[in-house]
Amino acid sequence: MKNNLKVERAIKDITQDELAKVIGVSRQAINSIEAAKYVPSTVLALKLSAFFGKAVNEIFFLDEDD
Amino acid sequence: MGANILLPHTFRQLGWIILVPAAILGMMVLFDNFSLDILDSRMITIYKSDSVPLISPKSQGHWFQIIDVNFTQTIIGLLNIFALLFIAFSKEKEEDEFIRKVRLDALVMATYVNYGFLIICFVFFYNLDFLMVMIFNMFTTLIFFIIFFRYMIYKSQKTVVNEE
Repeated sequence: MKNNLKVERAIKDITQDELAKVIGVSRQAINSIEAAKYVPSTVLALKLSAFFGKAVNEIFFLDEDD
Repeated sequence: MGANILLPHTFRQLGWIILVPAAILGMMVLFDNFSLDILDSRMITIYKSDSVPLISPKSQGHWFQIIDVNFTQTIIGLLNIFALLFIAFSKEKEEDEFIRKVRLDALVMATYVNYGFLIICFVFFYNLDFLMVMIFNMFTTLIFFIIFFRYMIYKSQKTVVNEE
């Protein structure tokens, strides 16, 4: 799964650390999601979607491998 | 693995405080026959065989027999097990779904590596030498897990620092 979390974060001008605190997860979680090393749960994806005010499928996309 | 089946974060420190002396005493028991006479006692066993040869269908023995024992190695062994469990399964300061995934990966890795070593030892150690292997094996899954989990957490933290 791919995502444009980094872009969304840049638009909002918020660091990984700040985003992690707002969402209530570890910094490593945000970092690993951005690096496409970790696929978040639906709950976490929905929390991120609510924070950025965008639909989940505007932030996360299926990969060819999925 | 839900966070609710994990121990509170403070148990990790408690685990280390117990582990350091318990591990030293454990080595003294294994390699120096360390034993305290005041821990001589009577204890009920589930099964006690009459002869030294290890359990076989032909061995004679008794169920639920009370015997004379020394508790030194029992107590030190238990301290080591509890200390390792506390360190291994206490929550992280920031517990979340990513940490839980890392924990599961580390647990699977530790189980594979532990069985890898056990298979090699099972083939190349016999009789009482294999008993020694099994004594170490009481602790090694947890030790491998702690090493892998801490390393994977450390690696993910390092990646975060590099990003900034």
